[in-house]
Formats: sequence, C-alpha cells, structure tokens
Amino acid sequence: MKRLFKRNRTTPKNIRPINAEVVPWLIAALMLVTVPHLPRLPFWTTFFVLAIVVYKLLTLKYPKLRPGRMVVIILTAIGIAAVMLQYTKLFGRDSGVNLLVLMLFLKLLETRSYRDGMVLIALTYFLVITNFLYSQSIPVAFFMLFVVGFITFCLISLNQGKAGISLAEKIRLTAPLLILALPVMALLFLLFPRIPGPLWGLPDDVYGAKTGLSEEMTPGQISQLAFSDDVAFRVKFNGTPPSPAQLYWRAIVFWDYDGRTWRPGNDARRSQPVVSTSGTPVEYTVTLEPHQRRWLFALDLPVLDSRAKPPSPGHYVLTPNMQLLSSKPIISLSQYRIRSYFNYRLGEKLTKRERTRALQLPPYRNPKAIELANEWRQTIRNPADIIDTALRLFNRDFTYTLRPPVLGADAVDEFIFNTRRGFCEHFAGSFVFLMRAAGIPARIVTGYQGGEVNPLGDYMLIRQADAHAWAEVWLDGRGWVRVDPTTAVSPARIQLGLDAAIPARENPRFLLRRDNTFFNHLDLLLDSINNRWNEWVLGYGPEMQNLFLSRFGVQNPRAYDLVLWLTVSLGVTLGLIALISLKRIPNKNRDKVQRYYLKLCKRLAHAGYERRPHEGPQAYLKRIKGTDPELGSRLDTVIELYAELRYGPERLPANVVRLKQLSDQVKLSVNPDQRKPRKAAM
Amino acid sequence: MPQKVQLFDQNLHGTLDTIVSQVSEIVLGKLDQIKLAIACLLAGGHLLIEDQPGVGKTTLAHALAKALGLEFRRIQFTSDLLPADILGVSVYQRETGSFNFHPGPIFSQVILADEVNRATPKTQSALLEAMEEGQVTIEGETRLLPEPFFVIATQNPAQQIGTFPLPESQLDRFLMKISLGYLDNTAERVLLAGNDRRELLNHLHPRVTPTELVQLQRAVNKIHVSEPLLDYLQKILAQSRMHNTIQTGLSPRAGLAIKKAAQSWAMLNGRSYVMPEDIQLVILPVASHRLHNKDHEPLSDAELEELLIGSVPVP
Repeated sequence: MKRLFKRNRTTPKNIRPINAEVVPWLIAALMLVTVPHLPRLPFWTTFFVLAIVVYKLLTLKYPKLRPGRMVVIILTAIGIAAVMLQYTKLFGRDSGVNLLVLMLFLKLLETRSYRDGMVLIALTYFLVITNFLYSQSIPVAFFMLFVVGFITFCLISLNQGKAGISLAEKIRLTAPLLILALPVMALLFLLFPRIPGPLWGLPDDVYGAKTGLSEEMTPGQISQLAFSDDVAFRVKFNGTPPSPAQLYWRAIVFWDYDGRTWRPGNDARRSQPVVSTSGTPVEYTVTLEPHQRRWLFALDLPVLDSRAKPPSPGHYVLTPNMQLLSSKPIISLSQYRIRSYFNYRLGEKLTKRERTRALQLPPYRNPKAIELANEWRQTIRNPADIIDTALRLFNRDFTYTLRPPVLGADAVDEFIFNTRRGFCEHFAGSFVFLMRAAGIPARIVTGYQGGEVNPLGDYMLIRQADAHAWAEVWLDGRGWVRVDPTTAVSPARIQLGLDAAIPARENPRFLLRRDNTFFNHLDLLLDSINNRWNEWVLGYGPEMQNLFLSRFGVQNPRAYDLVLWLTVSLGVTLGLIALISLKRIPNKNRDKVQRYYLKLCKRLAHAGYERRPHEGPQAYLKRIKGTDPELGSRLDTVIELYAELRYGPERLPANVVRLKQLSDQVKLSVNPDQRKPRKAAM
Repeated sequence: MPQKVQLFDQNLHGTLDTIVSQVSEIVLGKLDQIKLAIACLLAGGHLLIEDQPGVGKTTLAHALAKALGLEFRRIQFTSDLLPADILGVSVYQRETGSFNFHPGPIFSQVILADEVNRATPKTQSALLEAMEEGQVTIEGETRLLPEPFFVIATQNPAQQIGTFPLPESQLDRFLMKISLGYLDNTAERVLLAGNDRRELLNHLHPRVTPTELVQLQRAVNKIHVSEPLLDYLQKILAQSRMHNTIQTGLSPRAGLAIKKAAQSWAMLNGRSYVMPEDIQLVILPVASHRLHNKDHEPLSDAELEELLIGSVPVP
C-alpha cells in the first residue's frame, strides 16, 4: 500500500519544480475550458474531473497525499477503460474529447515540475479547439477567446521565474501578447488554404436531432414547430424580395396517406415533369442551418441552371417533385444560390401511375368526407369549382388555431364536421383528402411560408415557426397548381405572418410578436450579427477566399501559392511586430523632465558626446568636462537641475520650466555644425 | 536661479566632512575607501576589509573608531580563540558566593575583529550572531550590546594558509566589503617620511558626539530615493538573478543594503537625494561578497561591473 504513494516526496534536484502559486490558476484555466464539454460528456466524467480537482487541491495543502506513479497509471487505465466502455472506441469526436479531458486532468494530478506545467498548458490550448467541434457560435468563440487569454496568463505566471511579479503586471504582459497575435490570427484565417466543406465537421459523427420539418406529416406536427423561434434558414435576394404571398419555400411533397400520416412515397422510376417558365426569375442565396436532412428549400418553382451554386459539400438534384435534394445530409451551415420562377406550368401530363397515386385514399376511413366529396363531384363537376366550394367551406366555418383538438381515427371527418379548428396541416390534409375523394389528383407540399426581412442585415429570416403545409392539385391543361387552404381560413397568415393570424392569448412567443417592437428589434439585431458571423466567418470557404484574394489581383490561387503567400505575409508581420516591440521606446510614458534631458543628450550625441546607457548624469558630465571643460561648465547647471528634478524629493513646476529653458539655451551654443570646426581649432 | 531643495542640516554635513578629513590624515591616499567605510558605518552596517597584511586595515579601523568618538576594542582572531574570549565569562566570587559576569571585548561600540577568518567557525559565528542580533546570550541571560555597535572585520585573502572562510550566510551580515590595496607613490612617500601613524592616532580628537552620530544615522533614512531609482535598483537585482554565470542572485536583503548604502553615500556627498551614480558606486562593495559564480568562486570587480552596472540603462 505504501508503494502507491511517492517514496521520494521531494522533487529531484535536477528538475525545475513548478511555481506552486500557478497551480490554482492552471486548475481554473482547465475548468474553464472543460466546463462547456461537461454537459456533452457522460455524467461520470464530471465526477471524475471534480474528484481530481479536489484531490489536487488537497495535495497542495498536504503534499504527503501526492499520488505515486502506480496510482496515476491505474487511474489512466481506468479512464481509458471507461471511455472504451462508453463509446466502444477511442477515436472520434466524443470519445476523443472525453479521453482528452480525462488525461488532461490526470496530467494535472501529477504536475510537479515546470515541464509538466508547460505540457499542461499546451494541452489546454488544444482543448480550446475541441470546443469548436461542437459549436462555432459567437458566444462560444468569445468565451474561447477569453479562455485563450486566461491560459496565456497562466503561461506567463508559470514562466515568471524566481522574481515574483504582481497580478496586474502579469495581466499587463498578457494583453499585448494577445493583441500582437491578432494580425497573425487574421492572416492565418484569411490565407490558410481552405478545403471545401465545413471547417470543423467531423465525418463520422451524427449530429443530434433538431427541430424542423420531418419526413412525415401527422396532424399536430407542424403546429409544434410554431413554438420554435429557431432560425431555419436565411435568404439574401438579388434585388427586392418578392411579396409575402409569393414566399412559398418548397421542401417536401407527400403523396401517400394511410388515414393518419402523410408520407412522400416512392419516387423511383419517375421521370422529370415537363416544366415551362415565363417572366423574370428571382435569384437568391440561401444560408441553411444544419438540419441533418437532405432537403433544401427553394421558392416555387426552382430551376437548375449553370448559375446555381450548390451547397458545400457536394451537389444537389431536383427531384420529379421539384424538390431540391442535397447529396448529403446538411450537418453544417451551408450556402447555395438558386433561381426560381413565379410563373410556371408544372407537369401538364400526368402518368397513369402518378394519377393513381394522387387519387389514392385509405379504405374504410372518413365516410362522411367521402360522401361530401362525391356529392360535389356529381353536382358541380368542374374541378375548379369544386376547389372553390371546398375553400368556401373552410372560409365559412373554420378557425385557424395553434391548439387544435386531438383527432381520432376518422381524422378528416372529425375535423370537417365536428371540431373545425386546426392548423395548416389540418387544412392542407383534409383539403387534399376532399380533392382526391372528388376525383381531383392532389398532393401535399410542406416547407416554409413567409419570412421576416431583417432591415439591419438586408436579408430575410425564416424561422421554424414559419413552417407551413399547403396543397397542390392537378388540373387538366394547367398541371400542378398550388392551392393553400389556409388562405381561405386565415388570409392574415399568408399576408402578415403567423403572429397576426392566431389570437394573442395562444401565442407562446409573446416576446417575439412582431408588434412587440423592442424585443423584436433586439432579436433582429442579434440575428443580423449572427448572420454576418455565418456569412463572413463560418462561411469563409474556398469561394469566399478566392473572392477575397481576387480583390488583391490574385485569381484562383493554388494551395501551394496560398502557403507561399501565408509564409511571406506572416514573416513580414512577425518582422514588423518584432521591430516595433524592439524599438518601442515608450516616449509617452516618460516624464517631461526626462524628455528634456534625453533631447539634450541626443543633441550632445550629435556633438560627439554620446551618453552610454548606463551612464548617470554626473558621470556623463564628468566625462564631457574631461574633453571639453568649457562645454562642461556650461552644462553644469542644467545637469545639476535635471538630477535634482529627476531624483530629488520635490519637483517644483518652476524648475521644470527652467530646465526646458536651460536645455534649449544649450542647444543654441552646441549646434553640431558650429561645434565641429571649433573643436578642430582647439 | 533654481530654488535649491534642502533637506538636512548643513552642520551635519560639516561634521561629516571633518570626519572624512580626520581619517584621511591618518590613512593616506585612500579617500574613496575611507568614505565608503564611513558611509557603511553611517548606514548602520558592519564592514569587512579584505586585503594583504600591512596595507593599513587595522589603522583604518582604529582611525574610524577614534574619529567617531567611539569606544574601541580589538580582538585578534586566532585559530584557538574561543567564543568565551569574545563574549565574556562568569567567574565565581568566593566573597559573595555568586557568579560575576566579566564582559568580553564584544561589549564595546566598535570592534575590530582582526583576521576574522583565522578563527574557527564556532568562534566566528559567536561574533556574527552578535552582529545580527545586537545582543548576546550568555549562560541563559540576554545582554544588550552598546549603541551604536559596529564591527569592522578584516580578513586575509581566502587563499592564504590557515584560514576558515566565512560562509555565505555570514558574509551577508556585512553591509560592505572593501579592500585597500597598495598606496600610490606620493602617498607612500608621505607615509614613509611622516610620523608614526599610531602616534598620530593618539592625537586625534573626535569632533562628533555619540548623539550626533545617531542623528546622522537617522538622517540617512531621510535621503530621498526616487521611483525611477527604485526601478533601476530592481532591474539590477533582477539582472543578478537572471544571469547564468551567477550561482545565486542578490537577495532582497542585499537590495535593502544597496539602497541604504547609496543613501548614506549621497549624504556623505552632501546631497539630499540619491543619484544613479551613488548606486553604481556602492554596488560593488555591497554586492561583491554576496555573489559567486557557478564554481563558488568570487567574481572579479570588472565582471561584476559589466554585469550589474554596464548592462542596466540608467533611468
């Protein structure tokens, strides 16, 4: 048992021990950098970390408790085993970070020498980076910047040597270091060769689920999204944004209905529909928040052409449903450019298979609705009029609400004939049901509707709460036509947005209601800052880099060129920094008296009497007297006065003025041009 | 004309001049060393003089004591000197039936510890303890030493046979270490042609009373040391700690010693404030016996000057 603890409790003589005062600071730095990780790691990691910190603090007070090599080795083995059990692997994002955190704290436990301290600090810097594997938002970036400053402070404390310096002085040393690092940071950011794709994404890690549209549509699902203020995506239009009624952001098309849930169905072996467009297209760039799915959002109706820019990484396709699909799930912030036409005709010819699918209904369900639809089919006949009738029905008796009642097995029947209160998915769902029952091919489209223009950033903001569902019906000779039954119930939803459409008491997002000006402005301001961050910092990929460099006349540089540029500019920057810090004579810090004296010394140096740096005023005067007694005697008063003002106990303002006068007088007679010949004559 | 800032009494300054001139009449051609020695005593520090035999160490010590009007005892250190020989002993009195303490030579105001490195460490430490504490403890009883209490120790260069070099911690108790060196030609001629120095010493009459001396010592503390000079001093200290030829840098005590010595030196030169030159002048006597190179050998004056003065810019 005794062997578990250090036999040799004192640090060996040839090893430089760590400055004991630094250890608490190191612990603080380590905690700061680890705290954001802890909620993401298994709970036992938190216990482990805290236990080690407590143990370490105890050993500071009672050095006898210091763990021996065996204890550290056993703890290391336990840590590795725990990570293996938890993740079944040691590499990968979560397991790697977890392992790093454990090992870092074990290193802290055995830190005794100066060298241990340096290793610990280097690893702590590294742990800062790992935080960005999880989030690259502004708060995280600023927090980590602060942490970097803190670690640097620890680094300085660790290296202060035998002579102790005060806390304030350490901070004074840290700040310039960080400021000097800024240009280097900017250069590395701007010039480091970029690879396409997210800077921080790790391929083998699947991000956790986030709220957003889903691959199925069940009543009640989209209304849940209405409670979410999360940003779905942001759009920047080339030119003025379209009117709200045109802002239908298409995402998923649903064909199959089983009586409760709508599903996209199988699109295999379908050919692309015939699309004809007219009018001027609208062009825009979408910055999409990661949603772990493959679909992208575009206004009805997107077209693919050479001017479109795919999201990074990879590319996308346009499905037969005119959905945009990325080749890979969107796991990081992505950007793409696309064009859409508002005047279009889509799929004027419907295949037999498509018609069957677009008319399919679950058997033995909703008999009353089917009966109603049959009645319409027989009495009205004209599909366009049937649509109108349905919309009129919705308009007359239905209420738009965020809190629809729960529906049973015959959901459509219950909705149409009993509850009559619903959200967009209820209206779209029952409308399509009615259309199909009436023999009109119809399908459901989900996506987002509307968007809020952020005046501060000149872009449009689409939140999860803007999620929407609408219908498309196929009419002979016109193809697929969008019909939004929600408009019939609540025109305000489309014209003014969700907040205007639902009663205030239902609105959970009270603070963000668009008529609540202060909070709304604040929210928009924060989002515009966030948008800039996304656009300029996180979105700084190869394209942005090329764009940036082209301003300096560098077109499409290769990685090799970039490295060259980077090296050269880093060299120049570091050289400049070195030059500035070496030459930095803090003139402003020196007081007046010394300034006058140094000025005089400079002139005397021109006259051939350079003051040596370690020479005091009297010694200097004595030396001048040795070669030029006449000049020396004229300097007597000035230098005596200087010494008294500089080193004496009192400084009379009158004497400071006098010093300036006297030293200026000396200047007249010690003009270097006059002096030299005189010296020669003597 | 600029107004002069006066801080201390002109009379005191006159007194100081007198003391310097009195001593320099006896110890010839050593004005700088004499001033340093007086500065050291004014700063309340003990003085170590290291040099060859016969260059006037004892005479200087004697003259100083005399000029300052202080009671003077000389202890010749030898290898068989015992602590009791310095501190004193209690002797049994048959008449009274009690022990009676006979104070040793340490109970006087100026001690000349001649050839201090000839005694054994035990005896050395008895003296050095008294220097540090200002009191001695004999047979369980603490006895105060007189005020002022100066030790002027002389030692022969360490290389000589039969010496016990003082350990670093004890060297640290001496504020300054100076050496005298041979006389220059003129001074030596005057010495050879003139009267016997011992004779002259007997004719020397102190011009300063013990009260005045204490006043002078107090005045040293009032000599102004400006902020830039404290910075300068700190830089010198840091330099001594950073430099890799030096084994152990100057201690904070050494820093205080330099400051005090510089103040004392400034006062001796009639100034009410310290100048960089004062620090530069006292730093070698104050620091040289406190610094060693990695091989535990003393550094030469030139080395020290380059290291401590030459590499730190004057503020």
